[in-house]
Amino acid sequence: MAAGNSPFPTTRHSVIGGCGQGDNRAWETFFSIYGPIIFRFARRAGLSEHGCEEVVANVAFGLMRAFRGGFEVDPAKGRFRDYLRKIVNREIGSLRRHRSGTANHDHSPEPAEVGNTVEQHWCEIEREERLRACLEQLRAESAARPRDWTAFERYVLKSEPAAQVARDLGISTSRLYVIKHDMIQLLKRIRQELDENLGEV
Amino acid sequence: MFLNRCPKLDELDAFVQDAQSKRIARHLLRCPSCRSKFEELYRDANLLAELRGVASDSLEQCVRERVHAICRMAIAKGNERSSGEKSKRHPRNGDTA
Repeated sequence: MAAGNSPFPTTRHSVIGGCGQGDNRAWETFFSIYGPIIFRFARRAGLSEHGCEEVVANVAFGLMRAFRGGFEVDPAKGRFRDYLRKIVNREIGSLRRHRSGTANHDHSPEPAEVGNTVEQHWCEIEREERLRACLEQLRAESAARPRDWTAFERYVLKSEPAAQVARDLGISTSRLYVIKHDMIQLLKRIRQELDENLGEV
Repeated sequence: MFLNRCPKLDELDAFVQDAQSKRIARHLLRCPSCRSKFEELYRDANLLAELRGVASDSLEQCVRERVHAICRMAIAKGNERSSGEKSKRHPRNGDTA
């Protein structure tokens, strides 16, 4: 995701709700986060890179088709994330079965064999990708204050010494700590907003 | 020795990293406001540790871009199909998550 290209919708309505209404921006937001999650989940299940891409394509198109055909998210029947994980698992299994007769099949266990760790893997990947999306959003929102972003990136993300970063940027170390603190507050706000839009992991 | 004034943000932040200053430690025992700030900074430190983990990408950028392109294609394809089917579509009302 490029800096300045916000992954989140400007309105605070639910992303999933937006998908249901055929809002392309909501779909883009959804897939910008869940596309890589699906890919990484399939990769962890042992599929080849090409196989993972096929899973992403099939799940993405299948989801769009389902929503456009009247699919509705009913929280009483479970969380959408759990439903999505089931679809992805089914797609992984289906791809394996389809390829099992060919020379180019994936030698990896069925998702069911992975058992209880499946949900744990999914949650781990989802948590990372959502945090990554928040970081990208933080970068985008900091575009107007490039010095603050540089300070945050060097001091916090790359763990460079505070004195060195402050000297290079011509600010005091106290100011550097304030910038760090402000950026963390902004990050937490972004994360909260994302959790409100997609539900907590 | 007891720290009479409340520590500055950078002093508290440094204390979260190494907990070396006995003066700050003693101050925290007596100052609920600083203690609360310290606890927040401690939670932030955990968040930042996670953040450092995701900052080094586990997916190559080219793979990530391909995945985004696949999803964009699915959206475009879904839109094409949707406009083509609008007149004859019959939603399955019972279809829910």
